Amino acid sequence: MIAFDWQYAWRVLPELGRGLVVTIEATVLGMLLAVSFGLALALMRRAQSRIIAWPAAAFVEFVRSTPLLVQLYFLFYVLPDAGLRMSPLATGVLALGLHYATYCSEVYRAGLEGIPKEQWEAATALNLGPWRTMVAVILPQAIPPVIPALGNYLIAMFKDTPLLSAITVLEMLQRAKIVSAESFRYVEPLTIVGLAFLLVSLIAAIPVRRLERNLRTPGA
Amino acid sequence: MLSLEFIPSLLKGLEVTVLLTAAGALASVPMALAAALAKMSGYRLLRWIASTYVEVFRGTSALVQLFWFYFVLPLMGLRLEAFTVGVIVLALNTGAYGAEVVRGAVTAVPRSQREAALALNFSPRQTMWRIILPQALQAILPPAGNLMIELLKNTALVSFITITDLTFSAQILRAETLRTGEIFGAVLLMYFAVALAITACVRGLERWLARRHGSVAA
Amino acid sequence: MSIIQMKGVKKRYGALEVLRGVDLEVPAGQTLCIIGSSGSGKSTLLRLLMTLERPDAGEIHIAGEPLWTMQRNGRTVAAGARHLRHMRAKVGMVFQHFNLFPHMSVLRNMTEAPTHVLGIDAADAEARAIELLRKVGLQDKARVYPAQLSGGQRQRVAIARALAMRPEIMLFDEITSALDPELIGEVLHLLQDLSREGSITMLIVTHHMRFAQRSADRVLFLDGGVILEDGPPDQVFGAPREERTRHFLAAVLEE
Repeated sequence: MIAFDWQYAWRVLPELGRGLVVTIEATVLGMLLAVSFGLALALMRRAQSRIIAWPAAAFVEFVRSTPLLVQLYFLFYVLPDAGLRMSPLATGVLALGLHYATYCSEVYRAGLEGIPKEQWEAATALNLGPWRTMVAVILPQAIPPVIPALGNYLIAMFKDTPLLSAITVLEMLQRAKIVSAESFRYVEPLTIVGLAFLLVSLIAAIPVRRLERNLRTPGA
Repeated sequence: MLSLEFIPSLLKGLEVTVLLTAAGALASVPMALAAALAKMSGYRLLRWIASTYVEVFRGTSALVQLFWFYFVLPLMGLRLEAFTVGVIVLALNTGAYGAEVVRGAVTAVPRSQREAALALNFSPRQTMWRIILPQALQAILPPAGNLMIELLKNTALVSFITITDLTFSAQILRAETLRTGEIFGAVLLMYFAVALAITACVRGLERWLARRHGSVAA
Repeated sequence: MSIIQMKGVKKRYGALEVLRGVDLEVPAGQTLCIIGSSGSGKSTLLRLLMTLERPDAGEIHIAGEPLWTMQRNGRTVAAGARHLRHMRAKVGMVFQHFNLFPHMSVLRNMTEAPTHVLGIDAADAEARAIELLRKVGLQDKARVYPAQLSGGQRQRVAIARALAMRPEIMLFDEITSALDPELIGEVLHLLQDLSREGSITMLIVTHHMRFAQRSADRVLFLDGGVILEDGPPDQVFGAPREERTRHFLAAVLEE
């Protein structure tokens, strides 16, 4: 079997910990972008005018069905040529945010479809403008039921952050690779990184599952 | 404006990607079935093993899984080709998600079907394979289609362990020609085309199945 | 010797005691109708015989053999899976909601169990299936799928499917309750024909009193988890001994 060098594992832990901080940073920022742009996409898809709805739909379908990694490379190499110089982390956040915005937009769409037509009609009858209708009536009802699904995507994004190592972002996996290359010992860093992901995912799943349960009982 | 000499090299990478997806998909089916059946079995040890497998592979990053297997397997004495490692990890990963899909579909088959099978004196194994699973298939197909698209996207990760799939080919070409926009644009379109093909196949399967049985309870 | 023997059978679901001590002996070939209000335990009684449920107390014997216990090395132990399958082979059941297998044609619904459980040769099983389908009047529906049949047709297929296993006892659990009124007649007719043949012991849970009066050899009135009334249909319907029986019949015949 493989020998697991605990001393070495202990030694590399701080460096991997620094990577974890970057990982969390990327996840949080990426998710902020995803939930806001995702909502915008969902609303655009529901627009009456086809000039707005169709490109939004095409964007969502296209980005959803193609690999995040390729989109990441695309932004990393193409944006500087177009004049936008961003740090690797910023590029990574942008890629994660745009990619997951498409998933979130599907989630929002499901939530919005779940609102009975009567709610829209009541708002119209009270002469609330479209903005107020959305903000005061529709969204407060549409968003809470879909929060568990968004939570699951947050966890999924967290697990996708290692892709950012491809564009030199110093998150956990990248640091593990650097450390392993120096010492030629791969098992300990990779196992630690794997366990770290597992632990964070399992811990983060607890509030999400509780939310799911709480939201299921009253309505169902 | 758009010269397409790089397309043939990309197509070779596309071939690898499609092969990976197909092989991974085929290998993930027995994994998902085995794990789902184990999770529903009466033996606690089997349930525990299956749960652990599902939680670990769903809870960790696919890329980390790839790296781990790629670097650790040789140390355990298993020297496999990178392609094989890729297929195995992708199958294990997709199979873990698939197990939950199968489990959900099987538990959705009405209990009355199990009772009818019992009344006809089918054994538990016969009941599962001849009565329950065929009916669960209809509920499995749509989510399975989504999992196949996820699998397709995950194949891009094998470029990290030097398998010359579509993404890896794109990177090589970019380094050679520095025409990033066109290359990656073409690559994205190719992936999209494969995704559409997968969706079409799954939907065709769904329709064929629905025509054969009808979704009315008998 | 009775083909069914139940002694002191009790069954509860949580806090609810559904059967509170049932004693019953059924001779072979008898057609027995079970009536009673909902919740009286009628279905539970059948499900216990079909091994879909386990009794909490009491004994059940089928064809002289105990259902839930068996002999091993001279000692009496709880029944194992093989013993239960051996016993189950003597009993067939038809359900309220037909429970046909939707992914199989009518013919395959009928041949699947005989082929794979009884080991009957496929050609023989198919021949017998067609014979049974002819008996229930559906021989031209062999290649059709259940979704394309009416409720009454599905129930007749369900009956034929159960008969294909050649059980000694057939259980019918309110088999007309899920049918549209105009389809009930064809199913009851079939039951009547089966009953007249007399070779199979039939236990029929039903709320069709006229059918019971015409076709049953014996009627049981189940109330509050016990058999309150037990006798030939003329006696149970015409001159019931118990007050509650009279009460129930009056309420039912009002419809």
